[in-house]
Amino acid sequence: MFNEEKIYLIQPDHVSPGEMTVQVPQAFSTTHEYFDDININAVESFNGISDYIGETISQCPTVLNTLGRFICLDGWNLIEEARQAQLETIRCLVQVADNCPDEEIAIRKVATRIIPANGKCSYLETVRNVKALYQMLMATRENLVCFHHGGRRRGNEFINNKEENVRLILATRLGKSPNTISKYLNHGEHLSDYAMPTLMATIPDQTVKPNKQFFEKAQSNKNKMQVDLKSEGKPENEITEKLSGYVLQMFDEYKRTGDIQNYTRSQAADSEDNHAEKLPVEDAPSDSIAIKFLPKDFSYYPGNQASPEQTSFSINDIKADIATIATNLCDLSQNQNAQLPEVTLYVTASISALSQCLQKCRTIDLTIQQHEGGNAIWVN
Amino acid sequence: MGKLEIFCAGVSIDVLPCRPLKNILVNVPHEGSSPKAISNTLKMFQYANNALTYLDSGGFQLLVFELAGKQYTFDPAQPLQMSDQGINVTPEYIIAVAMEMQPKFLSALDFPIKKLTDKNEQEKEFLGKLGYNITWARKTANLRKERCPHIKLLIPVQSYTVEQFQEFFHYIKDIEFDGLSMPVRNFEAHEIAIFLITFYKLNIPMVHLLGTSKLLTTALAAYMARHYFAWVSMDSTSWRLSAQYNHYINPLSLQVTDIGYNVIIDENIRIYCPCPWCRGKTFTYIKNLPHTEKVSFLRCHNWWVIEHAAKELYEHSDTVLTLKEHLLTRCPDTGEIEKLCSVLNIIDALRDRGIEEILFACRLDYADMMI
Repeated sequence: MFNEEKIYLIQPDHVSPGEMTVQVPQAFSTTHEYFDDININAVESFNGISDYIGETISQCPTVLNTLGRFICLDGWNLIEEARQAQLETIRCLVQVADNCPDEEIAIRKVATRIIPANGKCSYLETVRNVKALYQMLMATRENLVCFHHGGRRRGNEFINNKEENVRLILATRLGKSPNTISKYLNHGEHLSDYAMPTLMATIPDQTVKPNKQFFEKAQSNKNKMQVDLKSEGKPENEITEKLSGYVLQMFDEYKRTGDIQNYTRSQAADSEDNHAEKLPVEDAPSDSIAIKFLPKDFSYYPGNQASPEQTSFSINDIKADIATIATNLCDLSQNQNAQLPEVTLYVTASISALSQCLQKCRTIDLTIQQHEGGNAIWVN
Repeated sequence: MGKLEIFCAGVSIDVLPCRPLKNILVNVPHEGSSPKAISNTLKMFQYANNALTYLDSGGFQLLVFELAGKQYTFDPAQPLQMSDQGINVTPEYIIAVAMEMQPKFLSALDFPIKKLTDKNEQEKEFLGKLGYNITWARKTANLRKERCPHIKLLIPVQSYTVEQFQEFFHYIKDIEFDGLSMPVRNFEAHEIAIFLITFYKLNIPMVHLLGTSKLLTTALAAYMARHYFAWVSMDSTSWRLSAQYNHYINPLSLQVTDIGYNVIIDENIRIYCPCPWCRGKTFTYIKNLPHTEKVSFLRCHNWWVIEHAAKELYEHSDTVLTLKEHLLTRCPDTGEIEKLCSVLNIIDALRDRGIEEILFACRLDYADMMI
């Protein structure tokens, strides 16, 4: 008889060497779905993937109809219960797909509990919807117990706290942890009625979307800006407006660069620039340093006594020292190549030298006071 | 009438409870151990837009290393450092960092005494560290005088009793300094009051209470600032540490309340805090914030209530009676309030008498209260 090789030679799947025929890949898509009463004995279990420990929340099992077989994807416990009750049929949700191999059945069984039946929505939509649901449930006059989960609508887990109960309902009904619900609510906080739709409008036509990564990065900056705004005593509506504007601004940056600049760093850089602008450029640099570093309400506590070896300074020595410091700083200010470390070094050294000059000034001042009998001893 | 200032300790550029932040305290081993650390600290000062900075010497870190059995050295030939291996700090480094940071206030290097209850052990510990504390106070003061006389210097007091303090003071009274700083340890407010009146009688114009934000200690500080000293300041990290442990500081009593994720909160428990963070919020809202946001929220709230309480206590410190009335609206512990006010009354009545007489009267009062 013919072996496989001979069949291949007689019926090649390409026209000539190098010209491959296009093979349409077999798609195992669901052709249709329906509810029907299926004979219990006709339903097979699928052992390629173990059954879920937790029972299905659905009222009826989900079965796959393929190759004329009914394979249970989820809710095997319901079939077992029906068997024990000696029922002949059970109402099932039947998915029909042609020629599914075991791999496809396995994927479907896993997916039943992972991907929502109608697909996933964007992160921003989840945030918006959870926020809306939270507000709706907080405002409802209905008994919250009726919104709790399927067979457990007794409210046993409820406590005397509506906020907590609403969170519990959201967590169980949306299949998320309470922490995740808190995160959604937090990410949606201070997003105005304008900001949310503006961000939403970017979803369909943008490659970069306001996704979870964006919100997580933006949240840290939002917190820091909120600290600033609250410190300034801004009202809540103004805070929302400013934070919303900032989120939109951050999203623009995120689209352009794929990242968001740290709020603190950018503010620190701004304050450094402002500070530099405020320093008088025309004044002698030594004056700038003094203005910057010496406290305005400077007062020197003389203690009990001035040490005798320090009384030999003259004002001319001090002036000479100041002149040297000023010259050094002038040179530095005119040096185009001077970089930040060098400038820092010079400024630090100048402060130190000026501090010594100041000490000498005070010592001379003290000596004068002592000669005039003006020094008071303050400790016992 | 002097000033009362509360310094915010344990801050970094990313952990600021408000902005501007008026007063910041940093320490040498943490914030001064490298040029980068100093540069970051200076950036933080600028970002926080603060008015007053206090550079603590880091004696407390020495004690931490001592208690942990780790290496601690005071070698000027070795670099200033604090790592898992050990800590090295000297008065020279304190001044060098002060020169770089240019704080308004500076603590001399000290070697803190341990928290001990046995009197003999206390005496041993005090005498064992007295030499270090005298030497370092003198050395820091001399270096400050030479290199940065414009920075105000406070000498830390490491003693268990007033008598021990007087002994220490005897050896440092000739050096130049601007005030004293005092770790409060296990002392109750009325016990700290005895130290403060002793400082007052020695004409000390400035006092800093290290590492505390308790209500009664703050009340004492406020009263002493109003009536005795030119300046009283305090610092604490409890605003930050409490927040890390999900602790909400009560705006009245300044005691902490746990609002961790496992705490069940009845919805009838309302927030009565006037701070900008709590306004319009509920405990459930705070409890359920994601961890980072919750810690940030609590830091801001905690710091606000500590600072605000200090302001209110200062305003109500006209007399011991007004202070007492105000404290009673804040704190349920009437016994402790009574003790503090009793000591303040004695101090007020005997303020012009000798220190021995005041101490005697205060101790007599304690004995009465103990009965």
